Amino acid sequence: MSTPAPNAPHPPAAVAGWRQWLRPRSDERLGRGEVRLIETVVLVLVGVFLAVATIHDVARQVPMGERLSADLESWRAIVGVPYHNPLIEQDVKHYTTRDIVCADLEIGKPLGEPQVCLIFTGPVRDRRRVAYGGFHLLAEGTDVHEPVLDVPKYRYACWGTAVAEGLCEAKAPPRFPTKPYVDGFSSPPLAA
Amino acid sequence: MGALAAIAAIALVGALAWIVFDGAKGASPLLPYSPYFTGWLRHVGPGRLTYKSFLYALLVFCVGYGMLVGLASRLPTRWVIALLAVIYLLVFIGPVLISTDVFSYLAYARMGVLHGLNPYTRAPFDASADAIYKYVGTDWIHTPTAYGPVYTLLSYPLALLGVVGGIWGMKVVALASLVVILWLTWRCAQVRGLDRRLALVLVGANPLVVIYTLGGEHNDLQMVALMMAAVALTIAPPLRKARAGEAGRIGWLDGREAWAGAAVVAGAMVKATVAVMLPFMVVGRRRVSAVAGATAMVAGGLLIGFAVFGIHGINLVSALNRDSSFVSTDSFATEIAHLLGKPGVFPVDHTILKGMLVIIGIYVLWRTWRGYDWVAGSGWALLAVAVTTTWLLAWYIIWPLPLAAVSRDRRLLWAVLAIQSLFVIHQTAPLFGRELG
Repeated sequence: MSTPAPNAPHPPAAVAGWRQWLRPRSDERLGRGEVRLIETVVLVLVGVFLAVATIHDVARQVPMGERLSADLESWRAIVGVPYHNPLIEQDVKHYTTRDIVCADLEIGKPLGEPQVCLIFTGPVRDRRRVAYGGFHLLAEGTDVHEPVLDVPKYRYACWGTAVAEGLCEAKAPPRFPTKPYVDGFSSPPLAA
Repeated sequence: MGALAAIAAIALVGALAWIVFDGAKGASPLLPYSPYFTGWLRHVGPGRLTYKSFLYALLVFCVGYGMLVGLASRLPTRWVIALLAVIYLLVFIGPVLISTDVFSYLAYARMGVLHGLNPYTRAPFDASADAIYKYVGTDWIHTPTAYGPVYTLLSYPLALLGVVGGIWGMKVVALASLVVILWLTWRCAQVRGLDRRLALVLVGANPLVVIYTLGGEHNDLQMVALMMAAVALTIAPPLRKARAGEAGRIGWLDGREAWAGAAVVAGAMVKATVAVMLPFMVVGRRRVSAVAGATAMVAGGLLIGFAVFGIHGINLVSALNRDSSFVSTDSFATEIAHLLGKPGVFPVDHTILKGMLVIIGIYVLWRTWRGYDWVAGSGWALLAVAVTTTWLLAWYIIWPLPLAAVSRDRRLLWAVLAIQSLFVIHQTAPLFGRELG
């Protein structure tokens, strides 16, 4: 592939007895060009593949961003207060439009206060989505710097589709809110 | 040329001013939760920094950068330096952009200096009463440091400056590192007969360098500065000796080659990634001195690291393994997974990607052995790391850029700029939808 430079300088005396391939090298040796051509073709193909993957991913994200925006606006409309520290779980396994949006009711959630979670599915209409169920999520023992685990043993007071899906395993702790924000399939207009 | 250069300069300065002055108001999703030290700038910008305004500014900056690169060889050097000085000043006075990493750096330093905790065995959560704790990113509060002992020790003095003082200290270190990178890039381009102003603009005005890396005060700048020191030590003779036609040899040991090997290892003790450069230097240069210098620095670094931090302070492999298992939405691995209909990256994908990286590394090493430029070979290897990692961040794609700027193989430069462009394009999805609330 590579050929020795035609005017290569004489090696220093200390390495003059060394084999050519062991001698120190200071300059690049130019190849004949075939390897470079093949490399360039491969690089262009890889570049095109990465460009297609990138543009596909941007196109995939756009409707998802619309959806997340609608989820947050719908959460605020249904719960009636601004959301704080929102946590959105998407169905990345089956690519459905189901999102679970959990958020605090106030800034700087005190230790042990639960989050309100709503389950959204379906298309975006007028910047909103319909919530068909939800639950309260215990975050006991955590603060804003610890991740909230959205798993059944921390969920209580399910309503709507969350009841049928058996999402809640925890019992409602005394003094904690249990208000069902959405009453199942029968009241999707609540989301409007 | 003058009008186009002026338009490019206005695009760069205007876009950056937009980001900095809107960001100075705080409360932006683009800014990490941070001490509010930019209040004196809050009345300059028209509004708060939103995703859309940031992305528009980023795109304007990229267009200005493209124009400047095209014009670079015809621009007066002083004009280029003055422009870079203005945009660096804007970033310097502005808020911390995009990332919480700088707070992690300070948290590790404060853990060691103020709390007597070993940052290699303990996490910021163990010093949760510290004033910096609330600014550390949620993902990292339970994570010991992944950085090398050289960086950790050098960051310790900044712990004594307080939280805001420490941030300003990090800003100074980041800016000084970038200036060193630019000087070394300039010098290497000069020695190689390449256009120095083009090299300067390529690195110095690069959007990912300026907005993401300098804006976030990332320690990648220190790593890259040491990387470029190694390159300059091998290919560029010292100015005075170059004029006098002297060589820098001390007996059998070539001092500059030895220091070059040591510089690569020192860079790896800031952030381990740059270690991939060492085999290319050894195979390409074939100097005993470089191996001797690298070995001496490894021994010294390990000794100091072990003495100060114990065995965990020198176990950089476990930190690399931990970080390589993370997945970011911006990684090409994730994008390809989505393209292939998968929800994300699976453990088997990590194995496949590591295998691909090894194959690429071996091929480029073989080419280097056969005579290919070792500087370009190192650049390809670092680019391959960025493309195959599942944890890709903007400041990872700057690693090969200075090498590409001083390489005669312009394919590397095109490849680096193409990958950077794809990264920027991937950020633009919010432009096509409504702003998240």
